[in-house]
Amino acid sequence: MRGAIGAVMGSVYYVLYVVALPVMFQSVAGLPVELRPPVDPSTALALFMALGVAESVAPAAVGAAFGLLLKVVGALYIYCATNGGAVSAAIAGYCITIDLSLLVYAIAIGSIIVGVVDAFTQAPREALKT
Amino acid sequence: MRPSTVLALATGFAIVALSFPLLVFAVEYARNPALLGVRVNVAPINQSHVALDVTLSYVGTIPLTDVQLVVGNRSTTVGDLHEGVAKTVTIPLNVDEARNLRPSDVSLRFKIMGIYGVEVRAAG
Repeated sequence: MRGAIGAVMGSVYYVLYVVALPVMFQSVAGLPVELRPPVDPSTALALFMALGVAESVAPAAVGAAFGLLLKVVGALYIYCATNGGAVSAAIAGYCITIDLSLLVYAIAIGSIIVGVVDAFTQAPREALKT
Repeated sequence: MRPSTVLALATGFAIVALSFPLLVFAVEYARNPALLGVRVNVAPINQSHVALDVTLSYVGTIPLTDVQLVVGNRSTTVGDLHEGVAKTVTIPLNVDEARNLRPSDVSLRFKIMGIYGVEVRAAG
């Protein structure tokens, strides 16, 4: 049961980092920006689901580490897909380059901080249960 | 509420706030593609030089800062562009240099509200 919940959580993170955030980048830029995903979607889904399952079935401290790793992988995916925030698009005979690095860093740092806080608050609570 | 949930929400709000100027600029550009107008006029100075007068006009609400016009390897600072402002810069060019100028040698650089750097370059 915990494994299934972990797989669902991994899928949720996959939707957030691989689907929703790249779509948000294209929307805020208002341009058909070219993203360069570091891995194909099925590999990314498998990776996120595996980390989600590992987070939920592993013992407290190890599970918390997997939870943090899940967020770090998501942040890295966004960083690589957007080329560190320098996205470009060709439109009506013009090449437009937009530096979105501030947004990318905000997402990456925010994800990692949330992961660290989650790990430090979750691990002791899980340890008390067992 | 868990501390990580509060942090995740705060991060979400920060990201939305950070992307707001870019979103407004994108919406305004979609509604009016002539948001940032560029008019170029070439006038002879003497037998060896011509003056490239470039007028930039802007009607958007989000200020554009550090606007620079790059012609070849020469960069000319235009300054900041606010709503309803038009600025003209004159770039003196050697006749040969002007004749060999390709569209891709000219680019416009600016920052949306001082945050997001943008470069527009002709593909040709």
